[in-house]
Formats: sequence, C-alpha cells, structure tokens
Amino acid sequence: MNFIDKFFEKRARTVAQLSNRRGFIKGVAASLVGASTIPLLPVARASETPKLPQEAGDPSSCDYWRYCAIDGFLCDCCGGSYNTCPPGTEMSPITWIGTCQNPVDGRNYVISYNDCCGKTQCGTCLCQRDEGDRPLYRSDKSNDVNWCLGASSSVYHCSTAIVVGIAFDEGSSK
Amino acid sequence: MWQRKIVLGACVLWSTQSVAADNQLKMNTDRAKFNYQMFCQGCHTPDGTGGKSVPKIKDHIGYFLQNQVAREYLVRVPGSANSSLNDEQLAEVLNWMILEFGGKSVPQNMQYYTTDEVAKLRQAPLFEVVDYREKLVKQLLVK
Repeated sequence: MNFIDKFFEKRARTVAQLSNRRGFIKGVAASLVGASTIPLLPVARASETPKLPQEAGDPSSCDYWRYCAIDGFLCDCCGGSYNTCPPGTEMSPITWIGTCQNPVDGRNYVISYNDCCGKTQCGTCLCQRDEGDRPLYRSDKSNDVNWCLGASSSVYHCSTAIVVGIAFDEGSSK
Repeated sequence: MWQRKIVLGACVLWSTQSVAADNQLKMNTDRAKFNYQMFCQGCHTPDGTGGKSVPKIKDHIGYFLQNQVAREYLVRVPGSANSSLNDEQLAEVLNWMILEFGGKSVPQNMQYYTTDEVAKLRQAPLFEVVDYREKLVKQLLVK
C-alpha cells in the first residue's frame, strides 16, 4: 500500500509542478480557436454554393451564352477574356447592361458589356446577336452607343460580358 | 391638470403614429437592386461612384432630400422620369438607391418617396439637367 501511495503522490506532485490551474481554460480556448478555423479549410469552402454560374460553351464563340446581346469584337479573341480587357486597353466603367439565359441552370443573369478602349479595333471575332437591343432613342438599352465614352480614350477595341447579378423573377419572388 | 396631460399625450401619440403610417417603406430589395442594375448601373456604376460626367450618387444622393426642389429633381431627372419603370418601381428604386448608397448624406428623418408622389413629379421631366443641377448643388452647399 505504501508503494501505491508514494507512486500516486509522486505523480500528483509532478503534474502540479508541470501545469497550472489556468491551463485547463487555456486548453479550452485553444480548442475553440482551432475549431473556428475549420470552416476556412478548403473542404468546407468547396461545399458552399458557387456564386458564379456554372459554365458551358466556348467564350471565343459568338454562340457563348453570355454574348446574347453583344455587338462587337470578343475580347476573348483579342488577348483578354470574357471578363478582362487585353493588355494596353482600359475597361470603360460606363456600360450597357442586359440579361442572358444560362443554358446550364436555365436562369437569367444580368450581364454588363463593358467595352475595352484605348487601342484601335481588335478586328477578330466580330459578333452581333443584339437580343434585347433597343434603338438609339433608348440609349441606355442600345448597344450601338460607343460605350468607350466613359473611358479616358473613346477608341473602341473589344467587348467583355461580365455577370454582375441574377435577374429578378417577379413570379418566383411571391 | 392630469386630464389635460392625458389629452396632450394622446394627441402626441396620434400624430407620431400617423407620420409613421405615412412614411412606411414598402420595398422588394431584390427587385430594386435588379432595376438599378438594368436601368441605372450602366452609367452610375455598381457602387454609385459614377465617373466622368456621370454624377456621384455614393455618399451624396441623400443631400437632395434637404429641400423640396432638390427632392423633386431626383424624380424629374431624365434617367428617372423617362425610364420604362412604372411609378411604384421607380419610387422603390429611388428609395433603395438612397438607403444603399446615401451613407451619411441621408437625413435621419428621411421621408420615403411614394408611388403617388413619383407619378405626379415625373409628369414634368427636366430637359436641361447640367446647369439646373449645378444651381441646385450650390443652393445645397450654402445651407
């Protein structure tokens, strides 16, 4: 018995010397902080609903779904992409906006056709689909306007098609 | 004396309730945002900053609620008055823009635009805007 008493006494004293009463709180706090980082891990992010639409089609083709109302050269063929300007050009902040239906999910998305400006016309991949295009007297809905008027240079080079939102559906909101 | 206080209290209560009832905001924010994107954002940019000759809405639009003429301007400006939005949706998107972009420029006792008010004001659209707006802004700055 004496041996057992001594053994546990020695173990208890060792533990008391190596730890403190606040150590437990510290441990709990550390585990809470650790747990809070779990949602940041890639596995958790991958499970979230993607904000950008699912893609299908070729962005360098006029048939690509985002180009339903385009009238101009595709930046994707000119050294840029469907949402970035080619090097050496400036994206006009002033733009014309319409909606296109994504064939993958069947939803309508708001598309901003920002023109890229500052270099002469790109000259390749000319597309003219004009869905929803209105005459010039409805200038905010006409793609015949030179939207480079909002950039520092009004020389038109090519057009992008950027998704800026999901179209509001009066029927599904009720 | 206490009877007079009760009557006075009842009058104050009644008047605040009627103001609140007149100033209730009916808004579908999803529809308002979509209409802003479709009919305003092309020029006023996604966050209302504007650019070049496009006026800055962000942190400024609320100043136009300081007096009646400036308040009417926001409806009579061609982009509003001539838009294809109906009166209800135009009132909605104006209220949404003020709350979304106005920041500190919005007065605390903001009176929301109503459908009837917008319907009446847009009957008199402005034809010349730049000089008119400049004079308005000068008036607002004086105050």
